[in-house]
Amino acid sequence: MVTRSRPNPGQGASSKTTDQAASSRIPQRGADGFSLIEVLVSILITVISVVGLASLFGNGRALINHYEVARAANGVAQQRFELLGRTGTSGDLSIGSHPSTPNPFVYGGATIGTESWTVAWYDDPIDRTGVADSNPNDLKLVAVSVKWGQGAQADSVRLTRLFPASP
Amino acid sequence: MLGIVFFYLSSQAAWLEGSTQAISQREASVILGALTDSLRRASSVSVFNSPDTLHQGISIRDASGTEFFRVWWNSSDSLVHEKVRGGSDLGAIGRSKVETFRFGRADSLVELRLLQLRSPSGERVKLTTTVNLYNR
Repeated sequence: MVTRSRPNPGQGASSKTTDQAASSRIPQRGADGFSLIEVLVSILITVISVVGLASLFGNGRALINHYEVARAANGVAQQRFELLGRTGTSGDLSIGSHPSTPNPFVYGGATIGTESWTVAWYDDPIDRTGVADSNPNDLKLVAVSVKWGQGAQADSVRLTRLFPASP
Repeated sequence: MLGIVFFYLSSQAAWLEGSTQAISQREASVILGALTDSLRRASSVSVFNSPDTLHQGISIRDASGTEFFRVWWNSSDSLVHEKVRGGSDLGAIGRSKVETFRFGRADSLVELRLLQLRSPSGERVKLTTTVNLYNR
């Protein structure tokens, strides 16, 4: 903004210089600009927004990685059901936890977790349940668990399927 | 200002990379789903090289021996294609490049030894599973 000072009659050049210096320090009416507080508040808002967005992107990326392994774990669990259904022995489908030492869960060439299953009796409600059912051991409920650790977080996939009481 | 520009560019890159990887994961699941649904209904299958052992195909047949579904790795576009009931090629399942499509067999069990997709950003998605032929 251009400011002009008009020299008063009878005053020298030094008075003109003082007026110019004063006018450059004092904000003029209608002059554009931001105060220090406004600048600090805007910086604070920008920082909060950027940190929030960075956190959002990081979380999104972590979820994508998580579901990549979860899909593979889901495939391994499905595979176990198919193998138990076709080649599972009576020992594999006996009540309890199997195997004694959990199988390794391998993804991308590295062992990142374990895979195991449990077998429990399931009381089919079609022939009543509880005390009304003289034989509650109708089916076997097989639950396959695939557990893995990704970074500091442990995670797992658990699928269940019903099998005949006697294979 | 430089920091904000850097953040903007890196966030766009992260967004793009994450999105393409998620799409590739989804496409791998779609291929797996199409395969397992058909295999469970199948009576018999035959695995063939298309054109080598890392890139194969599978012909899925019903009890009468008629092929009702076929998927195979197509060398011209590196994608997995499908066709039903001996018809013409229905095109590719998904758009992510398939690096490996391998099968194994044991009696009535069909093993998808490795389905490996590569997202446009270079991330690899791997899936394996085994399916019984229930003929139903």
